[in-house]
Amino acid sequence: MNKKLPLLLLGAIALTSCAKTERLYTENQYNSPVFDENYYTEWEGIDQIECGSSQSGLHNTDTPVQKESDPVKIGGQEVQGYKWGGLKEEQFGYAHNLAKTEKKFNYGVTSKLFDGRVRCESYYQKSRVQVDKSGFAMYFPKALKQAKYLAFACRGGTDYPAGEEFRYSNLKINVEWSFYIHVDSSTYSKVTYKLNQIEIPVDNGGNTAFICMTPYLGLTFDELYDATAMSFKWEYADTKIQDEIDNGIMTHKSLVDDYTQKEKHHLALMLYEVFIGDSIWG
Amino acid sequence: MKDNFFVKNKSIITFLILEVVALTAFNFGNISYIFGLAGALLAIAGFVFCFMPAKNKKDFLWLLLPVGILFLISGIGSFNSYSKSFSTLGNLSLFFSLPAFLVLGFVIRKLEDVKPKTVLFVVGGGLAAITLFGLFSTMFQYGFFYSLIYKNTPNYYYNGIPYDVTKEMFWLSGFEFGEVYIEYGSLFAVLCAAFLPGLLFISPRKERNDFIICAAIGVVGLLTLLIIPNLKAILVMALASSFAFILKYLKNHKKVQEILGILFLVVVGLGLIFFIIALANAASGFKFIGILDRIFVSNRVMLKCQPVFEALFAKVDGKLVNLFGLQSYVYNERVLLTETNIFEVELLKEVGLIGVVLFLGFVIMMGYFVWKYIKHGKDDDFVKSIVVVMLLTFFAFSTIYNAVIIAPHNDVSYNQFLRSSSLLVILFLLGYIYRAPSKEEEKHE
Repeated sequence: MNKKLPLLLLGAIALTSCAKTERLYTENQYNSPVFDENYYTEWEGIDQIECGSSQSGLHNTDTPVQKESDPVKIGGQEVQGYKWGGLKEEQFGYAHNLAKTEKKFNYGVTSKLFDGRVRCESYYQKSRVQVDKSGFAMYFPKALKQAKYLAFACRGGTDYPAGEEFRYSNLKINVEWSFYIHVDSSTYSKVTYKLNQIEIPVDNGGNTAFICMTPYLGLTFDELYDATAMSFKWEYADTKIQDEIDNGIMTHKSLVDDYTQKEKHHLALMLYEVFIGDSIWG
Repeated sequence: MKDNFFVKNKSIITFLILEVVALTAFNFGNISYIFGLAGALLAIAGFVFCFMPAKNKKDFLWLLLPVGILFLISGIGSFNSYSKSFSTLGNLSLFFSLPAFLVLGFVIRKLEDVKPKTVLFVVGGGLAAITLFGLFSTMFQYGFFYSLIYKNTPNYYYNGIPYDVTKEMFWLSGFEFGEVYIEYGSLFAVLCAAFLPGLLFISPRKERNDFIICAAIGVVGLLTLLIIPNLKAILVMALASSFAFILKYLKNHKKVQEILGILFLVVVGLGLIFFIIALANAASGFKFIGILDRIFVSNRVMLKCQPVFEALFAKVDGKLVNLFGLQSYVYNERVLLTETNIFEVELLKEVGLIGVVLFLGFVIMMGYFVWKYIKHGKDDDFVKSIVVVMLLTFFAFSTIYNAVIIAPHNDVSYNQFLRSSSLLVILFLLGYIYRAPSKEEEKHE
């Protein structure tokens, strides 16, 4: 009996994986009413991955994306490829979000991107991931086996107090989505999709741009088979705007996109939702 | 002829009753309303069986009193406007299941087909089985002492919204594991842990099997509370367990027993008086000021209750509309999810003032029969102590720690007190110890 007891205790300890306590945060972390505290800059070590092959640039469109493209039919519903201002895709979001496809997407800070909320809807910072230009990355809970479209909803956001007059009406940005494909135990390949000259609203009543990348890039997703991680970056499409923002010319106060400069006002990309549509994970 | 039929078939009824009770204690499939209906059918069958032997008729007639009260309570709960949001089957089950489980407990004793300790082990087995699943899955998901370790970094994200890991545990809900609030899972655990004080009365050498079963059920409950750790629940369990110590060590100290008994009655009485004054104040429009207001209204506990009290005495066209439970328009908006954690107040939402008065009346009446059971019951002391500690634990725990919502990720998973499987188990135990008043016992007293 005495010999068995330590074994039983060891067995009990071995059972603990602490799966739910791996990533815990302080109260209000990423959900703070203070703008600066909500930047999500986590790369989970994905930036350290050395990729054996890279297909960056293969899927790159430099032609400005049209604000109102021909509608795309997704899941039996017609969705505008890209538009902003008065986005009406809430129902689409709740019907096609990734968390519905795979429950494990419900967990983590990035679950804000898969919950179906394509705009604030009174959830404010709870429904968005606030990204600066350094971007972020995440591992998928499972490997991507199949998908039919790639889309996301975003807008720009500043920390100007609501009472002040300054508001951007829109901003042009370039975005870059990269997918990391697990080739074997130590080798990854990377596929990067770039979409340029996207016009997004900034602080415009919570409106978001809904961008379905598939019609512009003609994605087939064959090359994404076994993707286990993804990263996201963005930059200003117009260097003039960049200069004006960086030098404080455009506004009566300077506005920066670097969250480390605490003393200045900031602009961030508010990413609300990412759709990897009709996907299968395994 | 009739008695012969009774003897031949009572084993089948006994088996079925124990099966339904075990599955209800296990909360199998989260479908306690199905077992409620099954229990109702068995109660009818059991009633017919037990009523046949002439010796049982007087006892059964006495049983009609608590059964009648329970029918009134469950009737209010099943047919008031509050119940409209629930399924017809669920409401039907509620109407029959409360009195049915009381009758089942009574029937299983009258059938005399199994020993009292077997009945107790079946109940404990069901509770321990679901608690064991909870223990392992909680340990697997959170590790040890997580509510203390992660006190400063308690949040995790689900569906984009932060949740507090220190307030939840993992549990088998229906046919899948998921997060539940600690209050919900801990109730099963404290009921299991109530088996531990029973060990005081069992010799580990002479009654080895009984000792092992009781210890196993109790340890599962205690470990579940310890790995969180849920100190509040452990304290409730420890206080309730003091009954077993009194039974064991102060059996011959009549004076001490009397003092403790009076003390218990005073505490319960003061609680009741407090509840009545708080309700009366609410009915008159919260007129207390100063220190009285601090005590009865403006403190951490009572402030949570105010929306319920206000809703209870809400008037439409000069008439009190919520006396039999809250109207759906009220509870849907804000009151339902006011987490008072006090079952008496939660009952106000479900069955209104009339229902709560009836329920408290029922509990007080059953308190008398529990007292009689302790004094004159023929069961072993370890059975008595476990049953009484379970009852004390259940009502004390539900008074301070009742779970209002079951699952943190699902705020419509409202945990109705009257529809909970644990209440059915407690009613079964109350039915089991119920005994008709006897003139001999009264003379003896």
